[in-house]
Amino acid sequence: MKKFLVALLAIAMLLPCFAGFAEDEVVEWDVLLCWASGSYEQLDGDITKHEGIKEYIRRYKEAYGVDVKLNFEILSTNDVYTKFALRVAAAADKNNEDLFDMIWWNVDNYVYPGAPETLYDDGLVIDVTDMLPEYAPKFMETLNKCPKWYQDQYYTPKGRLFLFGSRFDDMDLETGAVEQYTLTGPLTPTWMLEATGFEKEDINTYEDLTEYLHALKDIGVKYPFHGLFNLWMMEWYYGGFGTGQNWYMEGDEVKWGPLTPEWREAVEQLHAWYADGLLNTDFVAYGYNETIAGFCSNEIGIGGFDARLGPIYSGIPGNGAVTALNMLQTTERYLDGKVSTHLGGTGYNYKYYATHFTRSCNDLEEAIRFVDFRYDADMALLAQFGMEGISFEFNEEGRPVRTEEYNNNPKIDAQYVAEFMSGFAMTETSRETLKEQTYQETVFGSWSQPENYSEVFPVQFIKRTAEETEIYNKYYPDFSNYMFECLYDFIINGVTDEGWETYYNTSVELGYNELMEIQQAAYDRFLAIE
Amino acid sequence: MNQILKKNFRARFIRDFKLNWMCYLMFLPTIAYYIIFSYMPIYGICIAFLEYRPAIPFFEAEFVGLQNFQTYFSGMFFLRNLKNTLMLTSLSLIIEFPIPIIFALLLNEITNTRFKKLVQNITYLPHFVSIVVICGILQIFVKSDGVFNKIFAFFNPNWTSVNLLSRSEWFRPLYIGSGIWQGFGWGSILYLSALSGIDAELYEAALMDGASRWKQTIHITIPGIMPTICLMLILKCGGMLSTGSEKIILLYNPAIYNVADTLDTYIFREGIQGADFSGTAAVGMAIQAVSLAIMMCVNKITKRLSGNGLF
Repeated sequence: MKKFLVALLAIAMLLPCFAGFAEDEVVEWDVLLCWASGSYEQLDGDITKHEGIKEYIRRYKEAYGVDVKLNFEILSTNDVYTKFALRVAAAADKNNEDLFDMIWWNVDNYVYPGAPETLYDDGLVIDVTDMLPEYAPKFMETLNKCPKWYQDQYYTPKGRLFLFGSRFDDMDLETGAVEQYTLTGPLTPTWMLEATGFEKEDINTYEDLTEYLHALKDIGVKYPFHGLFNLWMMEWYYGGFGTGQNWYMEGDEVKWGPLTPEWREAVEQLHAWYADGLLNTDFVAYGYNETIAGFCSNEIGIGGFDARLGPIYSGIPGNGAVTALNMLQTTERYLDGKVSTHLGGTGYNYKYYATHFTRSCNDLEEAIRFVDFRYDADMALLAQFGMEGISFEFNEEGRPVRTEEYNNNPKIDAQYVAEFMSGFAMTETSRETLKEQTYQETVFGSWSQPENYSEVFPVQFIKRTAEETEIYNKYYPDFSNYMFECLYDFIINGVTDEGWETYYNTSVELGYNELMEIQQAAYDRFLAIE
Repeated sequence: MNQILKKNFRARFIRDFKLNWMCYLMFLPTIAYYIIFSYMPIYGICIAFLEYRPAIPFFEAEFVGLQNFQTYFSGMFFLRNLKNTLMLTSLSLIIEFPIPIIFALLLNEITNTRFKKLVQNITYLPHFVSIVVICGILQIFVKSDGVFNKIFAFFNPNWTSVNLLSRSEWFRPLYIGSGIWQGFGWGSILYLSALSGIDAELYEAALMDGASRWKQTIHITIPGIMPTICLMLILKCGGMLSTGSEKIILLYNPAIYNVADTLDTYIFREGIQGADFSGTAAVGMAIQAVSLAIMMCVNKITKRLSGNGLF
């Protein structure tokens, strides 16, 4: 009996050891999700309800035997701009006690002063450049296939690999042509087109567009034209006049669109529409949410368009966007026959979606491997389309298509599609599978004509050094605010020669030349890459 | 002498504390509030002289002297922002400040208690509505098809409907008007309590001397509440350089920056949104210093003119 009890005790003491072997390792990370999406609201503010993320974690465990627990802290669009630096400052003040492990950027990272280089210089994030070949082989394999000029954009001027975790643009790896699904262009509901008797093909010039706006007014549409919000997200519009809404390039020169004579023309057109009651007279009070609501309640006839109109799609209950909304085939390349040469989003310093590991990151190697898991065709599918059988299924040709449930459920996108964690691998297999069926293309199928975009958008962003960023940030806020001030004034009151001259001179005083010099230097560095 | 005073003070305090310890206990949260939220964070003001970076511990930031002050005060928009701030606060002082006083005087004349209470309740209500809701309502009212435009169109057939917040000339009336609507009822409470403290015998004596209601108001009521008016005026003047950023941020847009952009909105935009904590701490510090100076001047003036002052 005594021996039996001793044996039992011994087994009891050894059991936890066996249990340790049997159990999977659990790693826990605090993630600051700098998220611009309104779909978070559809999850009642609880990201743990996201089935797509759960699936990602499940598959990671399946592949590596590591159970991951993510604790999300979410900053919404506005919060990112107002609270990110405060959040970091609060953590730094407490010896980083409550500093998160990772940052998942879904918005531009200039919310940190002097970013991106200062994120490293100030020690907030860790430079993992040297670790990536070992711990992130999938990402590096994809990156190494890209042309050198494209690869360069992933590094800071000091050579730190900054965009790990970022989404790759869909690119032809042989030619290096970027096939961005550029989400700009005028958008109008299909029923309005039909009610006015117009066809998409009828609208090729601004005269056609004006005529269409009058027709919309005649059928009782409250606001025939509304930019996107604040009349800013209209690259396609300014493009048609041969200028840009921001920085753009012409040959090897950088230009600031709002000071070009063509921009004046474009704004005069807006003023004419405003005076004729064709442009939303309440545009000053229309923010993002009002714009979405305006579209969904059929108050807005035609509007600019960018990726952020996603919620319009899901904001129409029981009515898939593909049928409810229709992109007009009136791109910058067609309107008035002018081709616009933009510098893409060069107002931005670096692109979105990067993942960073902070100085508090627990188990860094595992964290890198976890992010690297995104760069896989299956994960790209999960991120772009959600879960097979629920939000998408493969058609007879083996391509992913949205399910009926997806098209009829406005909330499903937020629950299953984890686009913000997309790595979008450009491996040949995923390209074949996904090239023609990206999320955007599925929703707005008729729009994208990627074959020419390599000409229109040769570069998405340019890089400024930390010193340049400091100077840029010193001038740009006032410079940009003043431009908006004048834009609104010109639209409402018209453009006079005197007003234009004052606007031009004041912009120069506010640092136009200094800003231009910085942008040009950054672009020259880009052009110098072989 | 000092020793005796100190000893006396201590002895008096201990005696008073033993007698009124419950009052001291009730006072404790207030003291704690001011120490924690007003005095302890004061050390943070030194970032105005530093090149502060959020990820770097506070005391490791580089000292830059007055550079942050210089940058803003030499900026192009400083004078405009200062002018807009002073315009709004001056208008508020001239128009908003007397209204609760007049309203309190009028209320004081109402003899029907039920009606008086009804009026008080109705006028107090807007104070409890969040500023976000007030601005939301205002945004809807001023839309091109909003109620204001409809009223104007009713009285003026030639009226062109526009969003009133897209017109510079409308911003100040809307800002001040909504401020009056929201605050005049609540603001009158202080004056009503001051009115209730006036000795009723003074009115009786005046009545016997044949003074009319108007004469009573001029010679008894207003002097009776003058210390309260002076106190409020001094405090109001102390805030001359501060408009409060919330309401303006909720209402303004680039079309009316020329009249609506103030020192406070600048601090919010640059400091919070632009993460330039050092620069805007410098602006904030300068504003507070000037505000304190204004308050002390006004205190001195009112003390000389009426004998009433804050300190």
